[in-house]
Amino acid sequence: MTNNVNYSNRVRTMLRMTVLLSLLLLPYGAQAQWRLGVNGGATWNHYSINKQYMTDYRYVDEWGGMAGVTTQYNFFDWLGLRGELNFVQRNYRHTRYEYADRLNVRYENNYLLLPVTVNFSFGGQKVRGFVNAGVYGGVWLNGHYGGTECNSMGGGKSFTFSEPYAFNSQKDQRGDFGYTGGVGVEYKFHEHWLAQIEATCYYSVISSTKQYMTYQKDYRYNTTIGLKAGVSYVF
Amino acid sequence: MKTKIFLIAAAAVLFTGCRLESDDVLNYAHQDEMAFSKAEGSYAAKFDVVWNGLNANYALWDYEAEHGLNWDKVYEEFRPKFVALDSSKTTVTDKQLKALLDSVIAPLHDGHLSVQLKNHATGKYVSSGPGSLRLARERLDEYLTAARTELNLNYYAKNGLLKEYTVKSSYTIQTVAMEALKYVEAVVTRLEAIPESERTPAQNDTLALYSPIGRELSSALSLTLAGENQMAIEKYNIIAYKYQYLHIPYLEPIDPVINEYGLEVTYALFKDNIAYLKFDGFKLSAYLDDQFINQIFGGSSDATKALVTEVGDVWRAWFNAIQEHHKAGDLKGVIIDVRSNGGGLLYDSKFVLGALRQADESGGFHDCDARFKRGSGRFDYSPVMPQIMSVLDSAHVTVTAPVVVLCNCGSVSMAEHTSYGVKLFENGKLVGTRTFGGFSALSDEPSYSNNYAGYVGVENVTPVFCYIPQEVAYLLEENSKGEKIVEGYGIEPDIEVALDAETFNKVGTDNQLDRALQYIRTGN
Repeated sequence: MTNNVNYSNRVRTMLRMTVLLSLLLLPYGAQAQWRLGVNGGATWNHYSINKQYMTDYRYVDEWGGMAGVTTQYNFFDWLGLRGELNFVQRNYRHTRYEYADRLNVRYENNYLLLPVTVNFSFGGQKVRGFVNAGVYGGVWLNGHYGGTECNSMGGGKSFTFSEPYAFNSQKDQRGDFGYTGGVGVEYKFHEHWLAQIEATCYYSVISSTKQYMTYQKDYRYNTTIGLKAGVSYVF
Repeated sequence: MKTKIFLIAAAAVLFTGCRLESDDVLNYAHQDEMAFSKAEGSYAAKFDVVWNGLNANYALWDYEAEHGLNWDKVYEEFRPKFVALDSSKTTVTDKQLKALLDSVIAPLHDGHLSVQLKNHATGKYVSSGPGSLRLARERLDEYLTAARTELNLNYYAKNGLLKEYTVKSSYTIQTVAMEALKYVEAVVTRLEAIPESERTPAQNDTLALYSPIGRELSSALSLTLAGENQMAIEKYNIIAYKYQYLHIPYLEPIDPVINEYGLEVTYALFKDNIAYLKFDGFKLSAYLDDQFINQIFGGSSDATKALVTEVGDVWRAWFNAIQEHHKAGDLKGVIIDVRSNGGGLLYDSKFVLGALRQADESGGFHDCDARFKRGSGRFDYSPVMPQIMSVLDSAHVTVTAPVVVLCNCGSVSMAEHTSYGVKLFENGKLVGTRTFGGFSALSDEPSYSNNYAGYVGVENVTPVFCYIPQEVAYLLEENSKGEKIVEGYGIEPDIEVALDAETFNKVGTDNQLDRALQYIRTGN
């Protein structure tokens, strides 16, 4: 309980800092500019979990997909505030070093994330680099898992399956929150259009598992790299 | 520019980690110094091993939570009581420790779970299991009736209702020791009949030796009456080795493996070709499967191996009767009696229900579903997957005549799988009373290789030992309670009949068997 309270306090402090920084920038508005865009790409997710004594378990990073809409308000040509609504897959694979043929399950987790970031850009009129930094909130939408499972009672045969993951409200965390940041390049190919490619990281600070055991803390986190490309309309 | 640098730096600061570290969970699987050292001399530490070991390995936590058990509250309630034992100024007795352990374990449902603690004050071990506690609490009368009633078919045999009837036991302490005792007593009786003044010195020496041998053999045999077969065999073997120089007929050491794999099998064929099989444990594979026979009895004496064949022959008589009468078109039915059968080898399935049907697409038959632990968290489970029981490899008929399994509260584990399995037969019926409630299988792997579950510690070695099922087994359909997990509850019979022990003891008729016969003969 004490850990959870400290945890929440730290998160709230970070949120306040983000909002404060954003408000500090308002007096600098001059060449304000809106843009609205769409993007899509791939994700690469790393699942952090303490394997404890199950040393031959492997939690393998997995690819997924992402897609979303972006809106950005530029206070200056080098500074803006960006909001997104992204569908992000945070997948991983559970297998074993010794019995990989008998335990090899891919977990697909579909999240809806709402990142809010500060955008810093630099460069020329047409080609500019940028860096984003901020936070995101999100929700687990649904999941799917499948592959091969070791069936000790299966008459010597492994169990192959593919099914929706049934959310366990006692164990599974529906909400997500964390930090996000990214780097990218944009190319303004028209007065009102630009294209972007970007690498983004979503670093969750809320465990994907609830702390349902009072006397055993078990934290599991997703760290997801997104590689995306998109276009935006500049108003 | 400065503003830009400030803002970029501020952004970097925001990325300081906010993640927390999980607690470390010890591996209690083996005799690990780090895991068990404190528990050698502390009751609170013993409780910590039990609580944490079950927390990580027990596969039924969601079921327990649905039935009102909060394992964290158990920690809060009972740990202080174990701490109090550590501070006790008087010696903690085994009875005290067992009573407290019983209180911790009693609310759990798994029928196989057993927990053993070493009382470091006395050097003795105390054990507890929720299945036995639940049985004693809820069904004691039924259990005692079943345990005290030695069912047999003697009435049916005496009254000419059976065409064939064979009982064979490999619990040789009762047979071989009895033969040795008979021989010794015959010698003593013969010599005592000779007046002392007329006995030769050799006869006097023989009498002086044989009289105490007879008393020792009687003492060893009396242990079997109390069900202490292992002690009886140990005592008998001491006698056999001590007097082997006398070359007394039948007085040869009994193979200790018999104690673990001893089996009694009964076969009968009723006049109308109902084939009956009863056995007191699922150890048939040890007598019927060549690989098992070599592994278990490979180093045994010729006498033991001959006994193994004789016990196996009883099953073969039952199996052959079914094949013969099915092919002749006059097999009336099959009865498999697993009353008071404590279960055993999963592999035995092929010699029981698996001998009456063919394999399906799974390569065996889909008996139930299973789920395993997949992590140290209480709710870390695998998906639910089919549990497949084996079918006899060699050619055999598919029995279409009615198949009835007899069960009672002493039918445990594989006896319960047999009880449930017959309900999945189109021509099957379960008769008797609700089984024990130990449906989820154990592992015989002491290591954690497959499911990271099964054992905490080593029995009679570490100060704490827990034998924990590696899975949860599910019925294929909900029972009358709307549940698929039957731990602590059991399999419900299709035809419920409580044993009339009084009539059996007076007359010899078995009303549960009679009900099974009625169903086979009338369809009702």
